[in-house]
Amino acid sequence: MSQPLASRLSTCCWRSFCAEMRPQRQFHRSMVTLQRGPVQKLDVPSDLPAQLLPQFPERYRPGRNRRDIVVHPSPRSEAETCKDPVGLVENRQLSVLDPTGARARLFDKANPDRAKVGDVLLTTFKSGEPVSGVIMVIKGSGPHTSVLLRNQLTTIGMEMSIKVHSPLVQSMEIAQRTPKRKRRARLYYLRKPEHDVGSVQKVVDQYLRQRAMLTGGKNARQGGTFRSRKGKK
Amino acid sequence: MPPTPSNLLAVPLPPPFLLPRSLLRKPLAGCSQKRTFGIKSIEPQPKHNPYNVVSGIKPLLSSQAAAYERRIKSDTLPLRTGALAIKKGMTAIYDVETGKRIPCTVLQLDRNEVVSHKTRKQHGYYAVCVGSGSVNPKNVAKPMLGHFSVQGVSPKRHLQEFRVRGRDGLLPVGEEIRANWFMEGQFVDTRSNCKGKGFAGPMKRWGFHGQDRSHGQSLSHRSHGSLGQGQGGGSRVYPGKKMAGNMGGQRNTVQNLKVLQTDPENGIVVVNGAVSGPKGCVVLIQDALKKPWPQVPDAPKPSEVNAEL
Repeated sequence: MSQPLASRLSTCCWRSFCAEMRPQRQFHRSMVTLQRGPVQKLDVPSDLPAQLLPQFPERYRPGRNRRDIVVHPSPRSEAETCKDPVGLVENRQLSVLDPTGARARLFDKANPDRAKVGDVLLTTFKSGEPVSGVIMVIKGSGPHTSVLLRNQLTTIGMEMSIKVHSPLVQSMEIAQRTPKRKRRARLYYLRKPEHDVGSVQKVVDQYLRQRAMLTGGKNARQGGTFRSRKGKK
Repeated sequence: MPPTPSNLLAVPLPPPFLLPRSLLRKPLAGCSQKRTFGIKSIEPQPKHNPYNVVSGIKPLLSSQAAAYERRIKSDTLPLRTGALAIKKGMTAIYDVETGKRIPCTVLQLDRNEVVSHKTRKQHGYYAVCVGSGSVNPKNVAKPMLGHFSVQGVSPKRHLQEFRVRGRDGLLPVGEEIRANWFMEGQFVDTRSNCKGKGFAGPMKRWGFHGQDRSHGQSLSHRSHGSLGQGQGGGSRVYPGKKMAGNMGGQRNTVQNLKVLQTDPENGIVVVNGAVSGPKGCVVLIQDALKKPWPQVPDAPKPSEVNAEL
């Protein structure tokens, strides 16, 4: 900068002179970016004559302002209240069909005195008709539990699947427990002649006699109606 | 230079093909003449009636209005809206009197609310748009969020229209539909997407019997037989011939399911029998079309929409 200004002008071009005069810029800025500043939004004047309003787009007219999006709260959720509707329906069924819970306990896995496969079960229906037999399978759970009973009537094998919680079933009693724990869950081998237990009528009769003695009631012969009816035919 | 009258008298006009075109052209009727530039589509032409013009002929029935009239006349639109449910699974219910075991499907309604209406004036028909479930607003498109915001309901996971016969069936927007909307003993139709089976053969898809195991069969035990006749049948396969193809995964309606139990507290609706689709699928429940409309104890309130809609 020691040179006088006039001599610099004579020796250098205008560009270097300008660069000298202005402070050095960190970045290059074109004319375009200079011209395009942030667009300033102007509000629609409030005191506008009404006849000019139709010239505006609809969204700029008074009363048509942008509305904020409100996320409304959700109502109470039924799905959150009840996570397992099927279980709820089944439990309600059970409370109607088996109010005391005795029948459910008879087949409850947690109950050590439950009915097991191989036991002799005596079932009485509401119509008074008794059905007895060896439990071959215990299927299902909850209100759907069913037992498959096998017996012999007039030397002919008979199997009957009974829904434990059916409203048609009056009572279910274990006439005889299996002497040895069965190692199968499903005793389908009982269908083979060499494994068939045959008729359980004697066992049931004895159980009924004992029960009558203990309770002091009449020794009603139960479980024989099938035989007598079949015999008549 | 224009010819003078004296010249016209004296000199006859040359033959037309020698005259300039401007003289031959018809005089322009001011500036109002529409210029068509020879484009036929914008040239005004007399329209002819393509239909049989006979006095006393009935109006055509292919219009939208006529279709609406037919629909009303046939009485195939429910009086009130339906609801959206989720299939939760199947179980069985004992009839205590007869001892019968009735298979049933458990459906659950979740936060059903009326989101909007479709009106005859605006859309051509009456319908109630019902939404169910909830969804994170972050995952909802902004136009839909605005729609929910304006209607005053929370963002809904599922949205579905239920057509109703008239304006009386339009439940007010924001009204919640609970499980007791359906009464025990009434009949409903359920619509849902059935389970997809993929590309299935004709035996599975259409119940064909297949072909013999033996008797000289080779590699065609489960295939269909002939696809049709030869010369007598036109030597072609008729459209709609039952063949192997994609099976399932489409909307299925199960009609006339009896409502066995309802529980508005837990949103449970138990219907008799099976409902299409896997557990967790969306099921549309509405009053059964083929049964008398249910006797609603307190009729749905007339909509709050304007009378002129």
